[in-house]
Amino acid sequence: MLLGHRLSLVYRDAANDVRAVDGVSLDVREGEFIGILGPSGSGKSSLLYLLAGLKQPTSGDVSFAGQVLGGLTQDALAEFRRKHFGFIFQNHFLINHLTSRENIATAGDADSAGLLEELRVAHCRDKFPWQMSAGEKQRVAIARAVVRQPKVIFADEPTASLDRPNADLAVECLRRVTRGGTLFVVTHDESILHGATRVLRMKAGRIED
Amino acid sequence: MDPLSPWTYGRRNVRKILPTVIILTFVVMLVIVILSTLAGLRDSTLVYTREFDEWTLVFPKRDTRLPRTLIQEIAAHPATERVIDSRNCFVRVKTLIGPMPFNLRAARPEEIDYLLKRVNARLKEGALPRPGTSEVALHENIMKANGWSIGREFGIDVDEEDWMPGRFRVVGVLEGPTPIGVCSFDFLNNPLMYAFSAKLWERVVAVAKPGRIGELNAFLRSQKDVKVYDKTRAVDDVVQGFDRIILVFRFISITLIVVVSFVVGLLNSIFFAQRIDEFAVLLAIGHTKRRLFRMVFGETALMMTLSWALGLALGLGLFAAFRGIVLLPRGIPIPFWHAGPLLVSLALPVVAQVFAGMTVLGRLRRIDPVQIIERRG
Repeated sequence: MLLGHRLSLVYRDAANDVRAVDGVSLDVREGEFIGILGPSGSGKSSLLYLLAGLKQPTSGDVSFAGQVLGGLTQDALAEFRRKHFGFIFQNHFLINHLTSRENIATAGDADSAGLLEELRVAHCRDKFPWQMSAGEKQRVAIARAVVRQPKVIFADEPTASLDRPNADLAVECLRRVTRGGTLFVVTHDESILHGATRVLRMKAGRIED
Repeated sequence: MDPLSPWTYGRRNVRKILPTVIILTFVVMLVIVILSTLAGLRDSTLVYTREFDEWTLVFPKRDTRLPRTLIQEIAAHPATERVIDSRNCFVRVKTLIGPMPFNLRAARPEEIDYLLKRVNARLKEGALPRPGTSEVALHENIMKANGWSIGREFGIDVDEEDWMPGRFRVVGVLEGPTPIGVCSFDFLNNPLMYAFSAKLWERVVAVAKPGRIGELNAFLRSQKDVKVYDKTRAVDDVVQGFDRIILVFRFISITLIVVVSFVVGLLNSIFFAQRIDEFAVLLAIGHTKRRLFRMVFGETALMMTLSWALGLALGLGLFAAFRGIVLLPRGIPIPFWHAGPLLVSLALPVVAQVFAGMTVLGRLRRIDPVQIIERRG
């Protein structure tokens, strides 16, 4: 379903070329839960952004359900992401002047009441981000990512800014609301990858065997 | 309701948009008040040229007397209705830019009646000047401007600072759309009654048949031995002075518009930087740059419209108060509505919007959501 073929991402850093992702190929089936582990600077987030169409690979290509992402215009790629992908970041990135319900609605106009209930943040429905705890905000961010029931969810260190109980709760919620969709989780914390169908370990831009 | 609508942003971020709204409102208000006052003063002064829609003054060029044959020629012209012998008499009128001379029409009683009728003026209070007396009747605007009432005397004999030799007395107040003042020809023309009579140059009031003033003026201007003071000349006298002031204030207004637009663009740029996380995440989750530009453009447009409407309301309110409290009681019948200042004020939000739009567009084109997310992440 999601295919990454010989993906490379090269940054120019001062005088040197830095190969953030170096010739990675990946074939992911529907419903898989993929964990991506690795130390800082190993290229795990870069790989995630390449697969999500948020970055253009220096070489190689990504295709989803037969559509090569590199062949799309910027606007078409944005629409494609909106339709098929959901995103969760380390920081919640909720918009401060919008309530939880409105923040979720920025991703789509589906009904979020049941979802907030399921994520145990129904009481935050009409609260603004500054009125919520870090854990609550991250769960609202999860709701925003899954509200349109995307085919793939990309989560980049979704628990990094949470304490242990909140991190566990966020992961539990994330697993529950993904509902058979494909899930990518980039993390330093292997414990949250319990139940993953595959765990990819990255080092210097490559997937270790 | 769309959570990304300009209205939602506006009402939830009052503190953020307030500085821009205040600056724009204040400048729009300033432009409206200053330019409306100036345009109004110009129009209110042009009112004093209305009498020249009906007649034109003819003076000798080199001598104090007009050639008799020429007066006969003027009277015989097909566009002439009547030629009235007159003399020079004027009062000082206090205006906002200092004292100005206002010419009275010296004529005989039946001619005074005729002149008043031609300009739809009538006696409001008191009496018309009696023949052979130094009495005058003045339009109510002149009376208000000088703060005079019936019985008031003027002339060098009364006040050394005055410009008109002798002593004159106001006996009547006139009203009507055209400001006019009248006095006795018999008095000014008789050296036994008025010592300065011999020094006054002759002049005639050439009254045109209705609708034929242009034709009469063309004829008068073709005469070599006389000077003509007609509508064009009277308007030129008023417009020249005011147009210079209006030009200066238009320049100031345009400079203000450019500076304020630049400030608004800069503020927008700062707000954009403050909201960079918001734009990054919206781009990441699949909103297009075009949609974000429309969103920010809409927010700015709402802000501009609100500021312009507020500035317009405040400006017109302030101008109405200034007009009612200061100008009208002083006999300055300034009109309220002026298209020019409204159009100039409208340029402010439009230019600011374009400027702000360009700033945002430039920044949106360069934005890389991943870079921002990773930096904040």
